Amino acid sequence: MKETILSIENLTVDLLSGGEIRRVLHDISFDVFPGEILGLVGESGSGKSVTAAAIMQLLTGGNKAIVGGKILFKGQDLVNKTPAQMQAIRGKDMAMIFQEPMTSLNPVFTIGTQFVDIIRTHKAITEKEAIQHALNMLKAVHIPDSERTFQSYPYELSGGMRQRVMIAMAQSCSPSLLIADEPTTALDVTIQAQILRLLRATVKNSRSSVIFISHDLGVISQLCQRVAVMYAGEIIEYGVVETILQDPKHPYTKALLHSIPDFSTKSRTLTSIPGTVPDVQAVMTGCRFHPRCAERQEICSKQKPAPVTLPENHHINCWKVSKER
Amino acid sequence: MTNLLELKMVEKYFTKRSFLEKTQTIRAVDGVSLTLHKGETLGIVGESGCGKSTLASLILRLEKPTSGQILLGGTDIAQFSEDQLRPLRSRIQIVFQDPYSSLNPRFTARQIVAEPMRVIRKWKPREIDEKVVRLLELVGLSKEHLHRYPHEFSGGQRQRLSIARALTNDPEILILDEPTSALDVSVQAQVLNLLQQLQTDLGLSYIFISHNLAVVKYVSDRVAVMYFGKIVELGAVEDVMLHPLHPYTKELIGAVPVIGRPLSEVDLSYQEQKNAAGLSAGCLYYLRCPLAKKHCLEKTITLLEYAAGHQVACLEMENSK
Repeated sequence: MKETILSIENLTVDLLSGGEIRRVLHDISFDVFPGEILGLVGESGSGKSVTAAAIMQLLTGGNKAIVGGKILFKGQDLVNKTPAQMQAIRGKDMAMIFQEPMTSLNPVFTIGTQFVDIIRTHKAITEKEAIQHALNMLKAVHIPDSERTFQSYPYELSGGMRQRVMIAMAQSCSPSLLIADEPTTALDVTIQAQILRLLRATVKNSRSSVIFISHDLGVISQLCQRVAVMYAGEIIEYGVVETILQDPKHPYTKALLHSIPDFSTKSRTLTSIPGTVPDVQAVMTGCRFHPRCAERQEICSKQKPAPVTLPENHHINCWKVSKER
Repeated sequence: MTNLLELKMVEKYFTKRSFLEKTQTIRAVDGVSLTLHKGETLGIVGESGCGKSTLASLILRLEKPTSGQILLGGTDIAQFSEDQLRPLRSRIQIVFQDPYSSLNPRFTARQIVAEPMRVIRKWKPREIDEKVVRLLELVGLSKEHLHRYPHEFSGGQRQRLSIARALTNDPEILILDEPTSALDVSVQAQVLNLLQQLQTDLGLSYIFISHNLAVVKYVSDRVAVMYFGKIVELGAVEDVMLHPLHPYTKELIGAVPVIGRPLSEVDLSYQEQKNAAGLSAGCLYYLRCPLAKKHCLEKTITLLEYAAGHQVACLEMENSK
């Protein structure tokens, strides 16, 4: 077994919403290996962002929200870390890039000030060295005029430029794990392609690992080696990207792929999935996808499907697949 | 096919005045000519800031064009006054991108759908009630939803409600401004299929604005590609999407993330939408264009027909002809 950077084992998260405690993540397990880009894909409310927040220990309610499971980062369980210990890990060993760079940058400080601040929090170096390091990082993300960008305020930069700055900042302490939460959703396709290429090149050069969260299967297919498909707080299918996107086994993954307009063919029919993604709060017995599933059987509404593992570590949570075996 | 709507050299300039700097003119829509036939879907694609949404407000006459003609069924409405426009308003309706901000949160579904009918005062109260129920059923909602407020609906249902509202006064043209961008993919398919069903049943014509090329390709009959207020390519959907001629269209299509197609390995340096208009006359795409040559900046480039119904604004194409 290869050594992992991050191992999530049976993670279960409860969050307080509307005065009640709701289970938002159900028994999630996955691994991230060194140098790989793992995709987390799902629709809104599937628990992608909660998973990211749990890994970074940024859940409201702190680690009390984690009611079960382990988050093993380089062998250490993050669930037992104190806030101060986490502070030292966040930004240094693991970093995060958010969807909207405008809201994750401070509008009243220049890029340079914020950049130097991050570097000096984690590294014992002089201001001058930090500035030099920041400029190098900005050059590394191919920003044409790095000195000017260094002195700019976030509002002076375009969306694509801000996202480059975010990637540079996240990489500044060479973290071994980067979590990118829908980093290109707010951008135009041409800029998106640039950012994806950049992200891939940075990972290759630094040998860090990335958890790439997205709802776009096209982006996942272009960037990731393995993917976990999430639905309503569960991972329902998990494995190598090519296998899952070309030969999906779970009815949800299949339906999701059929509901995307295909760019390369002329077809004019699109199969939609009836109904909507259930509310996080919905209490449900059995498989969480069964009300919308085209292949549901009687057992699906009664009992949770047991995970099945096919060759190449292809994991599926579905009664139909487990019965066929 | 008849021309339901025709735009002739429509221009919209905004002036930006600031205290210390020079007054700037922004050409949001710059000499756009296009036609919409009855029963067809015209897709408009382009990156943010290319003037797609300004074009929509001009067609709706929410904005007055700086110059040019907007012919609705043969009548030029470009310079019509508010009073002249009122009887025509119900012929063109719009569905907005964000179903969360485009529905009044204090209105029930019934009030939302009935409001346009109340405004034009053509209908009796009983007729309104009947029509609201019929419209809700038409878009896949039901009677039970009548008295619910927007927050009780999901994103997809809200967008259905927006569509029902747009259909109340029997429009001929619907402008769909990124109608599915805020929706989940599984729900997006439902709304797209509903729109196609309605088009067949009611004989509607659509102007479908989106930055998502795959969606535009799925719904449109013809497509216009916009760059900095100008149309750079226009033609049948298969021609434009499968055999693009303009280098900008090629760049856009190349950037669409397609499952199984590897990410292209071009340069990593930052490039954004650039406007070469400040330099001189000529092609606006000059600064980004891989085929850019000196002569591209020397003359004004017009949209020319390259093949039947396929128009391109590019000197390279003009020369190769």
